[in-house]
Amino acid sequence: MPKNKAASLYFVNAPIDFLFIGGLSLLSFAIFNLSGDAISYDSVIAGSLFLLWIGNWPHFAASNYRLYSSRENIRQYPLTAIVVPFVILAGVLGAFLSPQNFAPFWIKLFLLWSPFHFSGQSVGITLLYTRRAGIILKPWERYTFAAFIFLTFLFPNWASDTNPVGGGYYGIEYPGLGVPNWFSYTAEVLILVFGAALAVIFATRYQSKKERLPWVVLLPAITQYVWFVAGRSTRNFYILVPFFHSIQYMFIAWVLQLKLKKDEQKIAGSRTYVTVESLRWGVINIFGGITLFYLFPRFCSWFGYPLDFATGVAIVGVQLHHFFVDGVIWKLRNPAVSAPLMGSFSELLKTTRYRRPLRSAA
Amino acid sequence: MKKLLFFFFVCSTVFAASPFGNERIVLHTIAGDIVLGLFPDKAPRHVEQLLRLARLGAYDTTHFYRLEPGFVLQTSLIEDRTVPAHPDLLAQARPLPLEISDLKHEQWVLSMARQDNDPNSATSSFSILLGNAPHLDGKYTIFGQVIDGFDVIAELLKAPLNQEKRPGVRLNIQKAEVLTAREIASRTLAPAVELFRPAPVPVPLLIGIGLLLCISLAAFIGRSRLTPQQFVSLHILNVLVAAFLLFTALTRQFNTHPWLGGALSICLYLCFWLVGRFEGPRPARTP
Repeated sequence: MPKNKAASLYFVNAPIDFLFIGGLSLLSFAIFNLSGDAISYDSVIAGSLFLLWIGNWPHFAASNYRLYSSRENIRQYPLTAIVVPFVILAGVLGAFLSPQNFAPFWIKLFLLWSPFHFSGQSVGITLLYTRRAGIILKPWERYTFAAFIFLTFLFPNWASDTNPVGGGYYGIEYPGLGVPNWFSYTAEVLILVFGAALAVIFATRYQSKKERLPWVVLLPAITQYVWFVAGRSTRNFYILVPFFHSIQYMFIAWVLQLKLKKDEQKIAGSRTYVTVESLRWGVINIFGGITLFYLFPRFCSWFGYPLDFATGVAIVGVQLHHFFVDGVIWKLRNPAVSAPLMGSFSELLKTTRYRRPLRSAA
Repeated sequence: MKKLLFFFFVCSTVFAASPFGNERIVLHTIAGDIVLGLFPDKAPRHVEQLLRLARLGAYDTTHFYRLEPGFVLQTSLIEDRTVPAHPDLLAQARPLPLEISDLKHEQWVLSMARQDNDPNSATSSFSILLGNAPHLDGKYTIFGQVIDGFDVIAELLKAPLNQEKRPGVRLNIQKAEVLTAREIASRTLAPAVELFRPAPVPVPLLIGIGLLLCISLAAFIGRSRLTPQQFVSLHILNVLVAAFLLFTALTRQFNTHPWLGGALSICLYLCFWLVGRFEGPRPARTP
């Protein structure tokens, strides 16, 4: 058994972990399919607009909070914390200065990168749970998981990118890449191949009983498949996918925040601590999200740009920055990240008090 | 009296020496006016039809649909107008038999267009030769020559071309008029208008190049202070900025060719993968 096996497989417990990691997506997918036309486009949009404030936007703020709230983090990732924002700002500036020739590609870059980022998170969560379960995947098993997850986004992306015309985002027309049709067909076939390989891995390990993979390890891959492949043909389901991604993120970021703060400041665990810190962290991120996604675009539009255009350009900048930040702050190879991610919610409730060191008389 | 006689002598000599008929076609294009002289003696049926069509306004709102620098600038058929033509007007463009003369396909000559497989199929589309094309001699009817408006043609030639070697913008012929040489002389022709100014260097490109420069300089200046990982990360950042600049420059050229579009897509995803290598945990320093 690996040394770094977590005390519990789940961060909180099985139902809560399942719900946040993918259960809510699967439930919604089932509801959308069963309800047929009963759930209107307008109601989904109205619901998703509300969820923006409590899920999507705060999750971007949470990554910024994690990076910028600690000097040690800034010192550890100076390029991401200081240099990348200037690069992103240069991109935002370019898009504002050249709405016809630059902004469309700024948008397109984000639209290509976003599902890639979703997939990266799904792979990360998969590896996190295998580590918590005390299982070390063989390289080929890890690659199979990653291949399946990444192919689930490549398939729909390539399918829509066969058209060189592209589409619109906040009124900004962006181009398509005009990829060959066989790209998406191949991706679709490979999804089946790697899906079957995953089933074989799971079945083999299940039979061996030594290193049995828990179901939660499969959940991110299944969820990702539902988001991008199965959910494509489900009316209006795609609108909620960014929210599902956000709550996955927020769930783990929340547990990490509680654990880190508790350990760093040697705070005694209690329900009060969990409640107060959760509220504090939640409120900061909600306000951070409002600043990034509501106030920042309005600030940009003061320079004479239409609000829609300013919003499109500005929030793409925020999200691209998030992709960079996420790329560094969650690296499991970093013990400062992986160690607290092995903790569980029950530890946060333990009432054992840290003793303050005695002051020396001198 | 002697002076008057001399003037008439000079005029008659000049007019007798001119190979063009008295009637000319003036094309009022978006870039200015072009005057076309016609050879009624060399291609009487073609000249008669073109003059008739021009008088009826058939060429109004047509355009130059083909531009091959060094070869031809070709008008569209009269069917290709922005203002639709009455069928009776379109019926005036009757197929013409090939009229061969001793004239050669040289620069500024007007040559009638026709279907490749039928020499007697010319109707209304014609080309202005932009260079010598001896391979067309004897195969296409030469019926005139550009007399004035060379600077206008030069301006039209600056039009951007699309993938099919067609002008990327519609080079409109707003109106075609039939005028005598005397009428033209008494008029002021519209001069060449600068339609296609060379595009200024795009500001985002300058910003991008500035960024590349700054990042490279930072890597160079700080090379002794940066950890190897940070040094590599700065180079990754440079790759990303450069890749994005290429992405903005190439997408619209590449996305009409599936293979190139596919290659571009794969390169972009590789760049995203590269971001995963950006600024990993600081490696432990060995004492």
